[in-house]
Amino acid sequence: MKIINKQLGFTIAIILGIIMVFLPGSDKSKFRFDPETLSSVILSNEDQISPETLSEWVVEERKDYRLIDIRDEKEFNEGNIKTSENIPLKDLLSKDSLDDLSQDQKMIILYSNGNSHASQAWLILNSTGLDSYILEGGLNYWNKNILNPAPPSGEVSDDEILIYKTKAAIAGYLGGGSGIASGSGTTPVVKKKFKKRPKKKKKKLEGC
Amino acid sequence: MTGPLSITLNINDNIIFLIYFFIGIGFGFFLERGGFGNSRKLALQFYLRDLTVFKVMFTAIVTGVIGLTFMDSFGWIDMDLIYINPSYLWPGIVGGLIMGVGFAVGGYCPGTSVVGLATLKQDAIFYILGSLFGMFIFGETVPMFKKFFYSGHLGDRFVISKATGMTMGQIGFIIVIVALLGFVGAEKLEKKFGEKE
Amino acid sequence: METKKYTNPYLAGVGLGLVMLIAFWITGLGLGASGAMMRTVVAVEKAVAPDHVNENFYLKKYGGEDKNPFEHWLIFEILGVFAGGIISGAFAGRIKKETNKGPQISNRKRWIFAFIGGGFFGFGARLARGCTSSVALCGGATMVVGSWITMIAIFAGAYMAAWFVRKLWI
Repeated sequence: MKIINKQLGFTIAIILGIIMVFLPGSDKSKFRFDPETLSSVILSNEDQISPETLSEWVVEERKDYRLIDIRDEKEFNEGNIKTSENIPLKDLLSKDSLDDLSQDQKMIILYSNGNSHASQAWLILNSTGLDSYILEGGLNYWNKNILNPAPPSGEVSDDEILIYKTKAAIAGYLGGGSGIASGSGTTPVVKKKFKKRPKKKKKKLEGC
Repeated sequence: MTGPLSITLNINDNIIFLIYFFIGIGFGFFLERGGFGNSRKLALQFYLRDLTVFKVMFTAIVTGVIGLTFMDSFGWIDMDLIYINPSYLWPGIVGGLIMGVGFAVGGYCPGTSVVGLATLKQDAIFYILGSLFGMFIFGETVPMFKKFFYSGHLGDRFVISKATGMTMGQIGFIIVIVALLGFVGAEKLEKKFGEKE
Repeated sequence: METKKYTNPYLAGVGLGLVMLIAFWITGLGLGASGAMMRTVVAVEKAVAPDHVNENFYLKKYGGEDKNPFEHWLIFEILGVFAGGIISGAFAGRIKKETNKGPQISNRKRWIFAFIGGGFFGFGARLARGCTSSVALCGGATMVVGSWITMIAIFAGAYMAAWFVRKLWI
């Protein structure tokens, strides 16, 4: 092989190598949308978690979820759901936070005051490949119905009384409002209706 | 068009199989071009008499590194979707050492042995049979050392850039320099110890 | 036919690298070889003792239940490798029935050691989860920590063993 060609190859390699040092890395998060899967998940409500279910989990002191309040610090400090952590929306999408969330095996639950901001956050997280759930009704519904369950009025059955007492006990545990009749001391065990969505499998053939 | 096309274009599995047949042709072609169908030529690497394997392998790696880095930078490929080998430290080291022994004794590696077979090398046949046997033994015995097999799990996509925080380009640059130095060294060694073909 | 000289190794290397890049760009999966052999083994075992395959955690991945071990890109790729080898060999006049070995040993001895060497390599390849093509080439290019470590281990093991088996080759 001619010496000239070898030197040429050598030089090209070095030049390319030096250029490479200055190329930006692909660390910037990439956003990907898969409309079909997204719409089916949204329509089937698989992306939501009901406040009733969440309240049970808090009471049971389950550790397998991360409840994230995406509002800003000020609102968070004024009042938040027990066991939640505050990651304001603008910080949620930072690389560090995304890395941290994707390493975590725990389920991510998002909430804001109502539904819309949490839903938007859900969509953005989803496009980076992260699964998460939205707390139905947000903090508004939570405060109204979970922390201050309405006592049944009129003629009530024993069942309804039991349900109310359960809710009241949960509310008390969660730091709920006044005027609630204290039920029995034990925390009730309620049947879970929540079905966790199986982790999305990327369509990928295996390697060697 | 961003790669890997198989995912962005949602290509059917059977077509991928067909594509791989042609990729294989390219693979086998260049292996044979470099003389890797000849077990003696391969083995002479380890006596520093013929450093073709080193040159070919590292040129290929450098080409790949440069290619992937630039493709990633131009957005032609999504590195998140590329298959990355999982990193298991202990089985990787022990398995590598054993493979090295096998390479020196047998003179082939699986890919090159197929090329040897294609060019009618009789020893390639025995090598392949031996490989199949070795893998059979592995399959039968691995439940006994399952724990070891899964030990030292550094991660499933544990790439050097994640471990060091450098970008692909920066690490690539280092690899290029190391390879080029290696090539210079290889030429010198071959001049000193090498056999003329 | 006169045997042609081998292609310049650097050119062959670039060619190989380009093939690998094309593989990555089109399929995202790179190259491989030992996996095809493992699958062949599993396919045979499945034909002979399917229950055993289902019970073994490792074999199950390749051919358990209704999985066809041959339904995988590696199989097609390795067939291509065979074809590519023939094509290049034909052009270069290197298709010749022979045994490559050192001058000090007989063919038979070479064959025995080829089998032994293959045995070691096959075992080691599955243990390290890949062979030189998949781990060294592709793992090397995608800069995977484990792959580089394995690659270094392969060369180390080979150089160390080479001294002991030098009679086979030189």
